[in-house]
Amino acid sequence: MFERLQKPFLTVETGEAYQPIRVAYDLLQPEKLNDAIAKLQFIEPKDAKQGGGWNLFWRNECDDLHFESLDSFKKNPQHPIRLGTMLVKDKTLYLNLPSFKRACLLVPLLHKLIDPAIVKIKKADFLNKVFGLNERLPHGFAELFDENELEKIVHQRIHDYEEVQARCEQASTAEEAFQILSEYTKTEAHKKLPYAERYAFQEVDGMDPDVAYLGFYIFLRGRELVAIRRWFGETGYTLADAAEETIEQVFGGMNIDIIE
Amino acid sequence: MEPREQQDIYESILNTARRTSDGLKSLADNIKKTLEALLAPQYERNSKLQKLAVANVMDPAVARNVAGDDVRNYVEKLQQIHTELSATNKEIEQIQNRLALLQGKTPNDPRLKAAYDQELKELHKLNQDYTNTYRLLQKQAMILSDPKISEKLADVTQKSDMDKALQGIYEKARELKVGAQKKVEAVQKVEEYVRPKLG
Repeated sequence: MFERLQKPFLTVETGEAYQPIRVAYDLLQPEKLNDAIAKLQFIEPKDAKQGGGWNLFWRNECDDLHFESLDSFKKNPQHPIRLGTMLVKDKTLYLNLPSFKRACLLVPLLHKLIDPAIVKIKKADFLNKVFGLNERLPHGFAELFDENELEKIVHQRIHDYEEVQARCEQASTAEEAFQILSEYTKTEAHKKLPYAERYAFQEVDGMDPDVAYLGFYIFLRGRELVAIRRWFGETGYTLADAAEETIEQVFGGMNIDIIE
Repeated sequence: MEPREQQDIYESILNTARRTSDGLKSLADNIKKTLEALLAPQYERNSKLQKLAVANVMDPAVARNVAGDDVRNYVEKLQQIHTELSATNKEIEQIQNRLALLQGKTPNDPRLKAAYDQELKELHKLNQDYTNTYRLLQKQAMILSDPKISEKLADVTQKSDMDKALQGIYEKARELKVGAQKKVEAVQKVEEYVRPKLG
């Protein structure tokens, strides 16, 4: 009766995989933060006993957020789901969320709702894995993320990119430069993903948030797909496979031919 | 350059920018939809596995077929809580129906309306607690459906976690049962109050 080959992974109330993520914002005008947050009805201050900070609920300004992974869930207006929490620590505002999907939905929304002159998005730290049902869950983000390790990974990535950029600039023809770039992308996409990783945000001033945060969306959801496919036994599935499937479907659907 | 020509160029630049922006937006939407579509079957698969796991453990025949005493005891306890919770859920549904019936009978009595609203509010809270407790029960059922659960429960920490979780759910199920019973009594009193009036 208990014979089964596959086990389910842990999901949150809105249906997506539990994958903790912490988004960090630089506090440019800390004195204006409380007022800016007080105007938002979906954000409520936490009890002082809970260590301060705020709770973010699925209601009011973020009522329209849509979760495709949701399976027969009925929203209860009297007990809205808590989507995440926020906390100020060391001149940084941290947005803590239990899934990539929630991060992808809330980051562009907060960009629209809180003046970027008050807080500026900086980075997001997350885990490249999904959890089993009885797996020990981390207690807080400090336990999960090693600042030195995350910075090392980001620096290595920038270093590799700059090296490729220099090679491209020195290439004798455009074809040669394209070949170098193509090889680099291929190698990167086939690499094994680290346990914990950091996404560094670019300047998004004046851009449409949905377009500006597309890179963040692809970065996270692609990794979510890899983590899930691997959980279900496709151990050789990489970001390259996820990218290939995505490109094929996006451009196939738009009737655009991709030349190898 | 003539002002008219300048105006044409300006408009042409604006149109190009608008088209590029719309194109980017459309591409962004397509990429998002595609990634959602690629993830959807994985979530469907996970959801089926979750439901199957719960259904397996809740099947009364399972407890008899489980080899280890430890696991069998847990499965039996889980099924017992499930039976109690299901009974409480039925009771909550019945109370809800009885309240709706009463509300329809005396719509113009403000004192009664206030009492019904209060009862409905409390019932709503009870229902919410039931849903949360049932979710916890489902989670433990999924954990127990693991083919290697016997080996895992040999670990003292995992065993202790399972004991604590089941005890917690058991107590919550008891509280719910008591809560539902109190609601039955409250509704009964209202029914007795209303009946002679309708006489």
